[in-house]
Amino acid sequence: MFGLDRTTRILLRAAVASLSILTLAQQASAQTLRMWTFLDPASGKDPRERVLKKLIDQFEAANAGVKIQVEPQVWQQMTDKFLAATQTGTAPDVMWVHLRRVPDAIKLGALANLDDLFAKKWSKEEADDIDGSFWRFSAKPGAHYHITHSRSNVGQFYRADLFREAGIDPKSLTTWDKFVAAAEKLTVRGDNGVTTRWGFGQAFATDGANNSVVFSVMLDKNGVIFDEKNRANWATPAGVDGLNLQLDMIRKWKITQPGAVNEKNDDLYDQFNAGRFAIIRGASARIPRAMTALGADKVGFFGTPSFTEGKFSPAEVAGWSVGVWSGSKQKELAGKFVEFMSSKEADRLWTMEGGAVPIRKSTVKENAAFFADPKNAYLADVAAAMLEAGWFPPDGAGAGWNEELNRAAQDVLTNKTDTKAALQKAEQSYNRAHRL
Amino acid sequence: MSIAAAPHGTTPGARTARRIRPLRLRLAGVGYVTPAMALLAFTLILPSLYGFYYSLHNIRYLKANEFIGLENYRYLVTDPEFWHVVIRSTGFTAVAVTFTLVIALSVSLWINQLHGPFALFVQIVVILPWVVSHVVGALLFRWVFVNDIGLGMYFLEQMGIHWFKPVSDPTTAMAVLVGFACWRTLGFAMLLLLSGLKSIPQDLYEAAHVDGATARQRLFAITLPMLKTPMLITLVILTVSNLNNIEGPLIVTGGGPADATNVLALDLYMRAFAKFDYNSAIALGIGMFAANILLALAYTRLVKSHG
Repeated sequence: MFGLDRTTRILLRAAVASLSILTLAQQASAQTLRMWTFLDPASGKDPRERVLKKLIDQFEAANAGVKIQVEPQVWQQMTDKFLAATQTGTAPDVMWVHLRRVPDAIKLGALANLDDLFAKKWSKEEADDIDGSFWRFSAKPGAHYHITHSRSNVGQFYRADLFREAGIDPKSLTTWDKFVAAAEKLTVRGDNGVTTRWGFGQAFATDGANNSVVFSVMLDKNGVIFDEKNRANWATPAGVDGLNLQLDMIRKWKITQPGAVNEKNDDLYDQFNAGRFAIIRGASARIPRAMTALGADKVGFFGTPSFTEGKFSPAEVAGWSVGVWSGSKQKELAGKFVEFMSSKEADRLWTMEGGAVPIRKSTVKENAAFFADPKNAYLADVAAAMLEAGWFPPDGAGAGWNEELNRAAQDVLTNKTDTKAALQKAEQSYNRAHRL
Repeated sequence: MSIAAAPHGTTPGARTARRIRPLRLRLAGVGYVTPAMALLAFTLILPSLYGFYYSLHNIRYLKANEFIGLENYRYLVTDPEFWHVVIRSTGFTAVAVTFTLVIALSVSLWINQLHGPFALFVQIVVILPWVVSHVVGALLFRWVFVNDIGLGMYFLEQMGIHWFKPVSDPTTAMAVLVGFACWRTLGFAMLLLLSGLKSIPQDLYEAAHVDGATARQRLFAITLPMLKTPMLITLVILTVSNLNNIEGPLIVTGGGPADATNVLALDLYMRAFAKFDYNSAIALGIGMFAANILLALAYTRLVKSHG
């Protein structure tokens, strides 16, 4: 054949055979729904992964010939990968989009209208059951694009066992003064002056940053962190007060570890589990994992204190918005699966077995005994903090504000930069990155 | 009769056979390299060209919108932070490569003299960090030096040195990053240099010994000149490796504190995946790609001229 030797001919035949097998496999998987999520149902390490596996099994059993193919992704890059894949026509049928990026996905036309797929068929009762600020986020008249799962709120994780030992009621820590006093009480120093336990663990690394104290203080005092053109507006008296409060926890009260300057959120969770921190600032979605490590009776959650008695400071809500790719050739089927994953039965599983905040009001009403159990009390605490002080990023806001605010904190601690100057530098960097 | 076995001659048949044979060989050669070239085209060449096309457009929501020429490049080079990152990256790469080369050379010279199981043991110890997954290696490195719960910190605290926090101070954080780069690439550099050492003819050393040359003279007159090519190749490869490495700065120091360890690869990552500033990220990516091509050219030239 064209003077090619035997080995070459074998290689060419093998290539042709592989292509044929691939084509056949593609035809055979016509009823396969692809889904990108950070959960890996095959792993089952996280309670939510086990719930997802159960739901997939149930859906496949109820829909003969349908297979849900989960392609686990790295959460940090998953949404961007999806946005890129929509343009190359390779996006999955079902997608979990970071809540903060939902407006981007909608502007790009990447998400299908769920009203057209299933939501407009809902009874009023069913629509009311799921209605709320998450459902309305980025919605337009007659168009909803996502159902937010794994809802989370930044707040304070606390070691319930250490609080009990110290006789501190976490619900009493509603103001910063009380919070600092409690953290001082929880900080333990050895005879040699070495701190063996810090009252309040913080992390100011710029990679994968969470809302810091300054963020909540600015929202508490000013109500906004961006101006009307979505430009960062941080070098204000509220910003200076907030950053000073955050850093005085290291400099003045010595309740936060000095290493916070370059520690990451994951370090916080590790050290919290190790008993080195009594309180940390974290995302509530991580509570079930901490409970798995420590025991449900040792972990609790409370909202961010404020300067006003009995009121939480705002903190950003987060979550994973599940939607259907607008370019999917199986939109109806994908919609059916998204609806199934958000059904009453599924929400009960997500909540009671996965440790997730419920997305339906009926889940709370119909499972009162579950929520009354002290080991599940954190779900009510998270929901309360979310309802009272949950902050959704404004439409058109960029990204990276947590990282820039942490950079300002590093700048003050490391370079001894003036607090206001550090905030000015951070807001300039943010505005420049977003061409504002 | 097979064409390959055709005897050399002057008959028309033999001349035709000579013309056909190279054609067939060429076709077979093309067949062999086509899969590799196709893979490279799809994974490297086409994305690079596409990336360059993107870099000339305004990118919003990861979509190339209006054509803006070199605006993304202009924006990048007028960003005051960018030049700090370039200078820092250059310094980091230079120091890390120099340290790695010097240590790898010393270790190679030492191992070259060892024999038996101990030589094998030392080689395994040195090569291990290079064999371990880079992410796992970076995480291990961080866990040793991370404040409070790191193994290294524990030992320091036991010795009463509780004030020393290497990743919290700009200078020591950079030292940790350089240390990580050396630790990660030392095994690879050592392998290259050791193979160079093994290829030096023993006759030269024997002749030098007969002439009464000291160990120092043998090192500078024979070993180092004969190692010139492996050292240059190692230098280029280490430069490329350190310039592009993201695991170290991202995992070990996170670029901090206060940007003290923010180098080009991490800056690119943060622009793209923290700030979602794809316009400057793609310009930086293309710039780094160009730098890499220059380094690759240097490498191939070195291999050709000395090889």
